[in-house]
Amino acid sequence: MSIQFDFLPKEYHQTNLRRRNVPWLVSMVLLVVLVGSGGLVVQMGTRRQLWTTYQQLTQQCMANEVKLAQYQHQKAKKRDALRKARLLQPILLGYPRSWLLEAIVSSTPEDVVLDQVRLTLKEEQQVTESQEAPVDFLRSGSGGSADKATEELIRAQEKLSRAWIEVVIDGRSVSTTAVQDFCSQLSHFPVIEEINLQTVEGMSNEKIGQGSTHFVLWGRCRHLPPPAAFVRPDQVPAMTTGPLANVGRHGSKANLP
Amino acid sequence: MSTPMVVLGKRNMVLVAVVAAITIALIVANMALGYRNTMLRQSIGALRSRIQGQEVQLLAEKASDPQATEIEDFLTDWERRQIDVKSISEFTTQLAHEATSAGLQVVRITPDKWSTTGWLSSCPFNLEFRGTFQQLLKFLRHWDYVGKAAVIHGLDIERAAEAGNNLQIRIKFTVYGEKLG
Repeated sequence: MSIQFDFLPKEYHQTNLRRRNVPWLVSMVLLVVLVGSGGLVVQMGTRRQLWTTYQQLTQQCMANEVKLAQYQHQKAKKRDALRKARLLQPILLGYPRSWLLEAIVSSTPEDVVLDQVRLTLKEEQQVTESQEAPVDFLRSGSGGSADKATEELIRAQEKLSRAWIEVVIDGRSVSTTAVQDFCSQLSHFPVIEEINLQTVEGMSNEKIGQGSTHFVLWGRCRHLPPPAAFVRPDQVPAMTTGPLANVGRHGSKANLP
Repeated sequence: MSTPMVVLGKRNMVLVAVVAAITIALIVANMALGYRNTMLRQSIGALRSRIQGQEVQLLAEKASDPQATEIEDFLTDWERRQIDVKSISEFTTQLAHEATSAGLQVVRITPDKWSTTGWLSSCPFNLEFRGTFQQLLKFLRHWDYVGKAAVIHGLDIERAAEAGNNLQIRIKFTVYGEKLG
């Protein structure tokens, strides 16, 4: 066992220890600075990338907004066009009167002579609940901003679209059966929703002839019939039963001049 | 004594403080940047979901509307068929010509006054012809075929005389057109 004696002063040891710690301290400081700076560089790089992505996405979003605004504008235009088209429907899509007359003349039996045919457009005065739907549709989308004149136009066109064509046929026949058949033939056309024999009266022998019958038929059909009823008279299948199935089908036998 | 203060000595305190300050500054800067990056990521996420929604909406809007072409055709047809104040005299002449071509004898063509409701103008007409039923049918077929914007309100066909095949025909109709100006 040996005894060591330290004769060096305490300050010498402190200075020695400080000198030995300097590299360690320097390396620690460098490490902290490097890690911190490296972190900052990475964060800034990430931020640059994220910013670029953000800008690209913002541009895309704005472009989409513009496209959507264009589509909305087009949609609004289409809605206006649809509303206009619906208002014009009763003007352009009414049941052709030539078809109606063809239906009448092709249904006229040989024994029937027509004296007068009257077609009158009549607007319906009373509106039922179920019929109010088209009005609501015409007004929808206007956002309540439609002015008084437009409202008036909508009402007028609505009345026209619900209008009925009243058919009054005044004629003569030697046979009452022929009149019944005439009525039955007319009711065969899908466009004619109602047909009634309004008046039947016997006529004097001196005036027309023996056993002559004067009659008035009253019927009605819609100005804008449902699509199923919107058919040409010659497309309606001929009645296969009854003695007058083919009488006047092509209008040739009708007793109108 | 082995405490750092003692080990480093008082004269190195400034150096330690500077190092500590640099360290704290670096940590704070990193945290601030990290926070901003996180916020940016959140904004990007929100933007992406917004764009996704927009693209779904765009796809739905892009899907063709089959009714659109139909409406467009209908309105083009209306443009062709409408009758306005300017074309009324031409229409009247054409009407008389068509009736004559069909063999009808024109008695009277009387246009009434124009009236306007909203953007739609209308003019009532009264027509009176004489002729046979077949002539009338020919005229009406042509009328329906040409398809001017007109609605027949009244059609009255009556025998002109007890004997003979001449008919007296009265037609009340209204022509329509868009208000000018």
